[in-house]
Amino acid sequence: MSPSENATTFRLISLVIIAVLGLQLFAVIARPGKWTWPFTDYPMYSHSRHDGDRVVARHFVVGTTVDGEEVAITPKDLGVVLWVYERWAGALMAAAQKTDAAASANDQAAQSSQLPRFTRHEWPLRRWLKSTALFQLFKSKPDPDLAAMLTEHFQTASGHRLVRLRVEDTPVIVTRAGQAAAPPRSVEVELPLSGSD
Amino acid sequence: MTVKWWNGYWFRPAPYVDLALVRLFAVACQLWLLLAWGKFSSETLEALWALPEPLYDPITLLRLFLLPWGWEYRPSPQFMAIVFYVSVVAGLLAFVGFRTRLSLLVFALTNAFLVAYAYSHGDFHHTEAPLIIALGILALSPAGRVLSVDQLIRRWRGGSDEDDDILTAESPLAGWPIRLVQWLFVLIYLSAVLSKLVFEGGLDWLNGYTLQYYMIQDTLRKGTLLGGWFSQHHYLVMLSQYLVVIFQTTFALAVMFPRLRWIYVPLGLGFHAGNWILLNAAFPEWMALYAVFIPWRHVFTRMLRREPEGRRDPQLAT
Repeated sequence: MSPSENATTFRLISLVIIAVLGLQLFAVIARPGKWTWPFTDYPMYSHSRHDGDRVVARHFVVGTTVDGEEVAITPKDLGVVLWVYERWAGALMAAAQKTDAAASANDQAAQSSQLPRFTRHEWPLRRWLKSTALFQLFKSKPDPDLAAMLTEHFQTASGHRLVRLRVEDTPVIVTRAGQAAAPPRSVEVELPLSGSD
Repeated sequence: MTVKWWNGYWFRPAPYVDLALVRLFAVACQLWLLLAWGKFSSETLEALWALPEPLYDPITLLRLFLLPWGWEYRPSPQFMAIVFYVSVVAGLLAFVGFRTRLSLLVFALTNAFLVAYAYSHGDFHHTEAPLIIALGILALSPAGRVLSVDQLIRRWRGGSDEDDDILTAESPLAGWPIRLVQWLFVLIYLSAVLSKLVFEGGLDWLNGYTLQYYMIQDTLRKGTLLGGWFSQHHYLVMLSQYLVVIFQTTFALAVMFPRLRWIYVPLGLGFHAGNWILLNAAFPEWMALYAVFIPWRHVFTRMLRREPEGRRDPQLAT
């Protein structure tokens, strides 16, 4: 390569280097999640947990039909992979807890902390990013109402008409010595859900 | 002065063989994930397609890829299967080094497409991004100059032998991709530690219970080799949390002071192996990319007891 070709090549590559490092640095600071993937932030396992926190590995959902029959609903019955099923069960739990203030309060109490927690701040750069027209153009759709959507999806696919869903979990709690048994939680959700009307 | 420093850092001559080895590790790892791990197998693509339409929310990169078909276009499993097979063929060509730049570029783009498609259905993980970026970077570099079919073709056509010696050949364009991926690691680990201590967690992230919680959770959900057992040892877990934070905070030292890689590379590989064993959180792409921290020519010349003339201690410096 001639010196002038070399200089041009160096300049072009320098632009690539600056772009790659700049985009990644932006992702580190602005934390845009998957919006700018593959330049993204890395918050894996970053939430603090505490003595006595509940760990819920799996949820189980049982439906009650109009005839009073109980039907266990598995991910296969729902036609989705496990993580979608878990999101559905979590959304059902949340729907039930909205109307059950006591359960919610108990859950808060279970989240004991030994050390003071940091409050999560929306940093100025992140606030600004969210307000830009570009972000509004690309931003994710609003979260679908999973609880209502998948419940309806199951009823259509299986032919069952449900009046109620029961969601159970099988939790353990974190202790200094490892895991310890914790009482399971069971909530009931009356159907139809408000989102499915 | 600044330009001189910049060019001196990024375009310091480096051996082609180091870059070629990074190409081999990166491509082999991604091919292994595609072919042996069943990433984006027809079952996976069908399962994604079967998810209800409202769950499909294309991420930015996928939207850009699919612009010709429309803003909200959702590719069918057949469409994705074609992308998959193109990716496999490109990967095989990139591995053997045939039309290396082009095959690497196609391999990087098709893999980015596949991952972006999967992450447009609600789920999101962090394992693939560094390798996808690295493949894109390699596509812009002379990663197929040696240890490649391209090199054989060049020799067969009577190309210059002097530039083609596997161990001695070097170029100002062979080092920047390696250094860039190294700095990418620094920023990634910085993001991880900032998330733990500033953005999401806080100083109480280091309380021991945090990692116990995740080990118990992942053991119950996915099964782990030793996570259940290790989670019973509170102080050991707490110590490992401190080690992780120190490692991630100071990782830049491994790039600035190459001799420290004797500490940081085994520590980093151990850290990722530990994640695999204790949390069933597999990051093979990251482990493969640690190839950027190995001074391959140095290793080979030591093994062959042959120091290239006039090229003392051929890095450690990359």
